[in-house]
Amino acid sequence: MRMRAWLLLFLLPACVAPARSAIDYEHKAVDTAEAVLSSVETGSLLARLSPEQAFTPFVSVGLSDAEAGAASARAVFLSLQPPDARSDGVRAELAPLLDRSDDALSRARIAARRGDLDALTGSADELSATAASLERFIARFG
Amino acid sequence: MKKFFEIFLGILTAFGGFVDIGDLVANAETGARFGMSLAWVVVIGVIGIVLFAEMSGRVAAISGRPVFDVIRERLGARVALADLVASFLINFLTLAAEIGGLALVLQLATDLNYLLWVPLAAVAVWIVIWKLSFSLMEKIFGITGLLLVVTAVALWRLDPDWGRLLSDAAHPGPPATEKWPTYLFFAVALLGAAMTPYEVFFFSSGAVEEHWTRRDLMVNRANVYLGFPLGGLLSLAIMAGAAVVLRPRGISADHLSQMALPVAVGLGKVGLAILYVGMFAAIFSAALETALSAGYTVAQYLGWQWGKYVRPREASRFHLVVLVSIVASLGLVLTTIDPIKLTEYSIVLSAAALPLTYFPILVVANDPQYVDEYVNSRPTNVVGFAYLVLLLVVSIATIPLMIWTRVGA
Amino acid sequence: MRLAGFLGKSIVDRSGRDLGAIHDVRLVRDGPAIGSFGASYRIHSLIAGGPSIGVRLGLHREELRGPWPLTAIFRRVHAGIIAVHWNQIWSIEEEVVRLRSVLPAGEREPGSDDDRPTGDVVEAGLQLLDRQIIDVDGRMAGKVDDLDLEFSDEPRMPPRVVAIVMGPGALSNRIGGRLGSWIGDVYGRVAEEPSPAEISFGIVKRIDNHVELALPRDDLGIMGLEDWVRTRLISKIPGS
Repeated sequence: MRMRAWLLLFLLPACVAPARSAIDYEHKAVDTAEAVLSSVETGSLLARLSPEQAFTPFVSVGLSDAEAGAASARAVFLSLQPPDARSDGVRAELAPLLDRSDDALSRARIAARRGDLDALTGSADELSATAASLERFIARFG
Repeated sequence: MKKFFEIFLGILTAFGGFVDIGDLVANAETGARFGMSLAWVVVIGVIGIVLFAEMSGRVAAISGRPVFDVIRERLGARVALADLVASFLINFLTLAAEIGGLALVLQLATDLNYLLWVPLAAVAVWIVIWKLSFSLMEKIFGITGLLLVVTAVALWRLDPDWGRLLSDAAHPGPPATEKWPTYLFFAVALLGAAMTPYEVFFFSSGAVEEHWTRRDLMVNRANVYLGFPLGGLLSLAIMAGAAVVLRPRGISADHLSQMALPVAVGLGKVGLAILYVGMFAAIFSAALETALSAGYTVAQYLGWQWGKYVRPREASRFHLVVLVSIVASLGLVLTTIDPIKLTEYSIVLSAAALPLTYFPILVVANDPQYVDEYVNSRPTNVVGFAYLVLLLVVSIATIPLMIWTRVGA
Repeated sequence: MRLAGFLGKSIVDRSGRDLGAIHDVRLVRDGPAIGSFGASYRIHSLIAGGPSIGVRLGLHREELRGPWPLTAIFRRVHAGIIAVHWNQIWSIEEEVVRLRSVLPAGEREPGSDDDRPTGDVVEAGLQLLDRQIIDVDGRMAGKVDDLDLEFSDEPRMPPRVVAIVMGPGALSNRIGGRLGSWIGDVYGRVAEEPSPAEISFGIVKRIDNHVELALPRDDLGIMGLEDWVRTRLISKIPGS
């Protein structure tokens, strides 16, 4: 009995409760935006590190981690059922931002592994722009 | 002169060996989310471990009896068995977290998936335990861990607003963006990371391994009173680095790569290289300690021969337990559970389990049958009792906090 | 019978009044000589009453100076401790120890006016049980899981401690409950000799914060599991 209770504890954080109201959905949207912002800002910072400042493996691993983090947050959010029309609107605003983030991080990761510095710098700009959009979203709904 | 050198080495070993994957994760995550507003917990945690380690070192030096021996003797076979099971399981989680941490450091340095490194890390830990003498093992990895001082150097290079950092630290309480339950949850995590039980099992068993007597009490006190607080300063440097580099950008420290960013930004490649070696050594040292503690706890409860001060064949059951623990931890990490998440669980549960180990030590450090005339002084007892109350409160609050905050989400 | 069998039994006087659970056994060293140990320990009295936790931790003893709040609390709680002399016992049963007379309320040490313990007095639970055993070479030789008692032919004579009992067979009784009996069962099936190992008290050299023996542990027949693990597993690894 106690064993099962312990197991439940470990599983609990993995459970995502469905959003019951528009407010709840908005909170989750903001949480997602913040999580993805963290990944995007990490990516942006990493992409701007010069070759003297960081080893290639470090930048690659950092970007992979960031990409994985953003992808996971995005997947969880998109799997949620929007409870009403207002939430549909929130989803419609956030989803493209999530896609852009995912995309930019992937491209940065690929560029880093390849050692393609020009592409990496391009990604850095892209990531900064996406970060700014995410910040505006958070400011509006947070 | 020789004594002075011995004390000096001991302090450096305690200093460099203080930080492990738990401290790294707890301090970086906290700095990124809460700035320096939880720095006071590190101070409390360091004072606690200093108190606790000094007492258990003293008991072991004078009576020759290490912690789990004392726990069984004081609490009786039945209660001590429950204590053993809880301590062993949490220790096991911590060992798995440390092995995972080693693999993450190697991944960061090489861009090769951490899962590939896990078996190598586990084997390396076991080989060092098998082959190296206790003293050499402790000193090599402890002192190399000193390289983590690079985090403090990087912080200095980043030229932060020191006034702001200090004022943040002086004003406990969650920042506007966070809530009290999460704040308290991270406080518990930081406390558990600073006051890990394995540190005490290892420290007191180590006193017996190195055949300490009352003449070594000075060494014990110096190591503990100077080495551990210096290690605590490193923890704070990690917290501050995250507060300065990660927090303003809204970056949370979920991955080891993010935790290394302050050093990369502040010191570049050289800093990173030093950080890798320092992290590896400090975490390796912790992995050695937790693996040995798995053996110490079981052997000391059952009365088996234990220790590296005898040949492995003279302590076969002990070495078997250590080996099985390493293999099982390896298995746990290979289930692809996130090593950072594993670390978070291990430090929080460590905090919850602290009274189990702490209480008997506090009692026995007052008992002339164990420590002759070296019983606790009045001030030590006052602080000791205050900590007992604190740890009981923390212990009771941990599981509810875990559930309420969904493990700090 | 084993000494730990007393722990947890209630003491009941002639009228049926429950005087509390036994949480320790006081021994005095005035029995017939055993081996090279000298005079053996005999049961002097049973300590009962009040919750057992503080007693086990030794917090009620005068020599323990602190921490103050703990000693103050436990000394208050254990003001109700009684020490029942062996000659007061009528019978020892499954759940209770019955006394031969009715005890006046407030009686602290029934039956011991004429026989105050002198000389080497030891509280078995506090000072013997669960102690580390160390052999003559300084090596670890297990824990005192229990103590074996030998009853005398004379009816009023208290039993004396003749052996240290150790191993899963003895430990399972101490742990008690379902877990204890499960451990006992498993061990019984796995071990060659199902009965727990015994070390005669005659080869005990000294009792300190551990128990010192006068012989090396390999001479005692208690290293079965250790030998098995060594020969089958550990010695196969190079460098052992």
